[in-house]
Amino acid sequence: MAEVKISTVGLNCPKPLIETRKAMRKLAAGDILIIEGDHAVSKDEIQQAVKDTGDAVLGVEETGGKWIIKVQKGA
Amino acid sequence: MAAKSMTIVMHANDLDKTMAAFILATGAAAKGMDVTIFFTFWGLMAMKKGAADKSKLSKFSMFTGMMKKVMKKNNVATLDELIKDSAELGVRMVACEMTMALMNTPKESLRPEVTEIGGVGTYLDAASESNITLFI
Repeated sequence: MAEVKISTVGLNCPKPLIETRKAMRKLAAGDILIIEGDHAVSKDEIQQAVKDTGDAVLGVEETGGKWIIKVQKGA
Repeated sequence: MAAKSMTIVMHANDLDKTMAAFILATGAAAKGMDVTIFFTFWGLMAMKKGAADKSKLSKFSMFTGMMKKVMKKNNVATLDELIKDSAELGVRMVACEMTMALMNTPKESLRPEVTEIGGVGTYLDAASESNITLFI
């Protein structure tokens, strides 16, 4: 089971969403992706997109405008 | 649950409109939707090799350079980047066959991301199965 980290810090709409999906497509079922970013709207949009693609949000942390979302690729 | 399929007719080649089309396409693809873009008339001209960097705003086109600088400052993706991302996320890009003939635009003159050639039937087949259809 692989764990991959990507940073979308500084990127604007819709790049955080795009980079998340690009990374997810390269993973196998059960793999973990950790997305770091600071684009406020994308924090919620990424979580919804991950649910839409049948993957799971494992956790979200936010500190001082920066957020980290941990997701797991579905079957 | 999000809608499952989106089809866009891209008729324009202005920067503000083509950006909108590809932001919608990449966003929908990122949400797991099947996306088809049908390029017709001026929209097909936007898909010629080298055209993305020359695209101008639909209004106040003399300020295109200034807008591009502001976009870069705000870390907004370029049109070229969004087209490449669309291809990587599996967006289906179809060139209008009639426009290719009318505007002397052979397949070799188009970007490699445009992998299909079709007509109105191709668009209608895709659109009739789509939850979202847009004309840009």
